[in-house]
Amino acid sequence: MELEVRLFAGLREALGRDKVSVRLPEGARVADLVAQLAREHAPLAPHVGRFAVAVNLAVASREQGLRAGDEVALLPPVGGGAPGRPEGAPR
Amino acid sequence: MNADDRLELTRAPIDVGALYAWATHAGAGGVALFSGTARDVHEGQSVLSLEYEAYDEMALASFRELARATRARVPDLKKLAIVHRLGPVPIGEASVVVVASCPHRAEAFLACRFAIDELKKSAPIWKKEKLGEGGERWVENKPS
Repeated sequence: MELEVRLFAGLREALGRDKVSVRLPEGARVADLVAQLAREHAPLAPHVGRFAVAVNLAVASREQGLRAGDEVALLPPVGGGAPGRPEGAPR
Repeated sequence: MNADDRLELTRAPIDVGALYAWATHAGAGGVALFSGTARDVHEGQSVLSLEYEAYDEMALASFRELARATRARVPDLKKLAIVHRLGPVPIGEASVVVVASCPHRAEAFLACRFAIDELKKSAPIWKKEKLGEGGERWVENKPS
C-alpha cells in the first residue's frame, strides 16, 4: 500500500515539503512506516525517537497496524507556553 | 458538537471582547477568561514575533475532545470557547483564548484552567519564535 504522510513544523522544514508518500507491505505497523521513512529521508532520521505519529487524527502507538487510506501525520513535540510552577511546589 | 461550545482556529486577530460577550449566560454568575499572549522573551532570549502552525483537522478534533473532558469535569459549565490563532502573532497579541462561564467563579476558574492546560499538552499546534539576535526556532512544550 502507498500512504501519504503529512509533516508539520520542524519536520516539514527539515524535509522542505509538507507531505511525503511511502510504500509499505500489507500488514505494516506504525514502527515500519517510521523505519521506512527514516531510510528514505535522511533528515528525518535524527528525529525518529522524538515525534509522535497520528493515524486518522489520533496519536497512534508504534504497534498500531496501518491500512490503505489511513491519514498519517508526523507530529513533533507540541509547542506552547509553559504552565508555570504548580501551586504549592517548592520554590 | 455542543451548541454552547465555540471551538475555532483563526488566522485573524482574536476578538477577546467578542468571545467574552458570547460566553455570558443568564445562568452564569462567573466568566473566567484566559488569554495567552505572545511574549517578547523566552529563556533569556529576546523574541521578535511568534508564528503558530497547526494540523488543523486534528487540532479541532482535540478541541472537541477537550470540551467533552472539560464538561465531564465541570458539569455546570455553561459556555466554553477555545480559540487559537495561527500564522504570525505580533508580541502582545493573543495567540489563544479560553473562556468558560459557570454559575459560580470557582467552577469557572477550574474549567478555564483545565481546558488551557490540556490544550497545551495535547493539541497539535506548534510555535516558532523569531529571535532578536537572528534566527528562529521551534519551541517545545515544557513538562512543568
